[in-house]
Amino acid sequence: MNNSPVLHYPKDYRTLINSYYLALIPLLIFGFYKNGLLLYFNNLIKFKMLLIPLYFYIISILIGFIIAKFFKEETKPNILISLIITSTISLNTNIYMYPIILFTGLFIVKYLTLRFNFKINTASTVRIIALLGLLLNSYSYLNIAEKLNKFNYNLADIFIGHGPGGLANTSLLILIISLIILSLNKYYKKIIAYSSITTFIILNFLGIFLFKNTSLINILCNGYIYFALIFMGADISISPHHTKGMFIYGFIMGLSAFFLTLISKYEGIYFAILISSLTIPIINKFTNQKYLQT
Amino acid sequence: MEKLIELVKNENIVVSSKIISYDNPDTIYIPIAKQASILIKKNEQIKIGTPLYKTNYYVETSPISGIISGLKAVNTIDGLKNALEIHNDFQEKKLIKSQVKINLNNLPKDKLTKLLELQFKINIKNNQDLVLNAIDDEPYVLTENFYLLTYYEEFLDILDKLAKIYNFKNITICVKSSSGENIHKLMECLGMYPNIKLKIVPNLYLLGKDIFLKKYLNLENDSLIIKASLLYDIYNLIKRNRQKTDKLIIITGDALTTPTIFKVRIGLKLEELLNNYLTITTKDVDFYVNGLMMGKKINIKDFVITEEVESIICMQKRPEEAPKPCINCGICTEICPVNLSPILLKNPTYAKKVQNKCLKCGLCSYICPTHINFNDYLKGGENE
Repeated sequence: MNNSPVLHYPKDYRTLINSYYLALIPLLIFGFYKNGLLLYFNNLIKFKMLLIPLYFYIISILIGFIIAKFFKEETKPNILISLIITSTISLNTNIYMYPIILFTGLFIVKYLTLRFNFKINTASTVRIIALLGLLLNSYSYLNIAEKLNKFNYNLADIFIGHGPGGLANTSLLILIISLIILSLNKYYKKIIAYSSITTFIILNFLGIFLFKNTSLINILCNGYIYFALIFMGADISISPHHTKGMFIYGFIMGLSAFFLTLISKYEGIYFAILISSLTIPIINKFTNQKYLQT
Repeated sequence: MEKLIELVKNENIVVSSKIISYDNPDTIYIPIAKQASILIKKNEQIKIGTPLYKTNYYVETSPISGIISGLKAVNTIDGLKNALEIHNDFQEKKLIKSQVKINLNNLPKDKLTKLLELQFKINIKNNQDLVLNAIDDEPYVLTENFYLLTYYEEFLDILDKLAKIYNFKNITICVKSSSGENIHKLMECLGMYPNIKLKIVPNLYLLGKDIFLKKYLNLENDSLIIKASLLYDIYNLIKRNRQKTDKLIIITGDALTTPTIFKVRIGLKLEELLNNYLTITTKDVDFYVNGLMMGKKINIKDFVITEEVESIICMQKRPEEAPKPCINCGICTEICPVNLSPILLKNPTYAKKVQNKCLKCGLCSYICPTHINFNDYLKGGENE
């Protein structure tokens, strides 16, 4: 049986991580444009504030690197997870507290995972830890232009990425490209992303047509929910491993994302992913049965 | 067939189309099976077909005529074994048993059926679908392809004769789409055999296995699929009254200057072939027998080519990827052609349960993004 290092599918875990980076980088660039350059050139912020998105990116790269070195793991995946979390935080996040909270959150989850085989969605857990820590400060997802309602964006602008949200997770247009990039990699769990997104969209449409809740249209066109489902929900390691399980998991995630977003517009999605990830052992137990009874 | 995939391989490894015949070595070695009773003595003069030893299941006969010179430890596909060393006298004397003399034209059908069942374990019936399978699954291996290429006229002749005896529903010859030369030659000849069809199949790994080929061709379960190498043995026995003494093997890989097909005598030492005909381009070489997917790594010192050996692949040594912990991607389950879940092999009870159902095709290890060797779990070992 194949035990020769000479014959292996040309892609592996590393190429998947590279695909994640390829999918994430355009979003980070757009985040810098939306929350930095655009505001600066409209004289809404000073030069120092222009660098804030970059500061968050660099801090998360450093923290990911330190965590990887501390736990003697590969740096690329750790930096990636740190960047994904940072993409979701608000521009108004406290620049002094955030590095401490991000480091502590990642450290705790990583320690629990390695020491106690604690299987929980890292990105959403750390994101929630960050939220709890940052709630101590005044916390808003609107940048200065959005607060002042400077540009009067329509739905198409929100689709492009000008809606309120995290640092680099608002552009639905770029996210569609990101999803295509990730889907081209065999190892990406696209079933989870597709099924959760489909469930979420269907429920939102039902909400719009049955309950005439038009505010849901803005949520549908904004990218931050899809960002969480694509980059955090479809986490390769903390998710079911059989096709059927992936469908069920995606459905549960889409369902809980819809309801929890109604409760908390910006943060509900992370709770939805966390809650869904608690169902993984049950889903796996259910889908494994077919194979164990072979 | 949606589950079968094409393997990605090095397209620069090209095999010479010329077959080198090396079927008269000075010495051959016949490894002795476990619990076998030896039927000959040292220095005894033997002929082709002389019984050498017997087990509860079969009698091993000599592929050459010569003198038994003793026992020697050799390397085989199953590990180290004692082997009978036979010096060739180059006289090719045959032990002819009266019942071996066969004439296909006047051999009664029931006798032929029994003979095929006994000698080749083939259950041949009337009105069956018959498929000649010339598909090599393993990457870089072209043995079946070359059997067809070399003996296609003989194969067409015997298939035609068998068709007249058994009145087969359909006779199909399956070749891979990459076997251009075979396709060309068969296209030229098939006009004379209207009952024989040519089927060109895609280059999918495992399509050469009976279960997948039957599915691909929509054949009934009792259809008969015969490998080209087996048809060569059948042809030799029932048309030429010759028993199996030689075979085709391919020696290929990126560590060789000219990958070649050889016709060799069973029992030949591999080193003899390598030293006489092949040039290895680098010092750091790994040798694999019977393919990179389903075969295994071997030590070529004193390695003997037995009946089971179909290919030797010499590959430049590459740094081995250390397996990382499973990342739970589930791609192994998705790709498994027999619907097993390799991810669950960590569970020893499951591993034991599926031991026989698993084809050991290696696809799970091939595709695994963290380079886990699932075979370790089947053996009861630990990988993570």
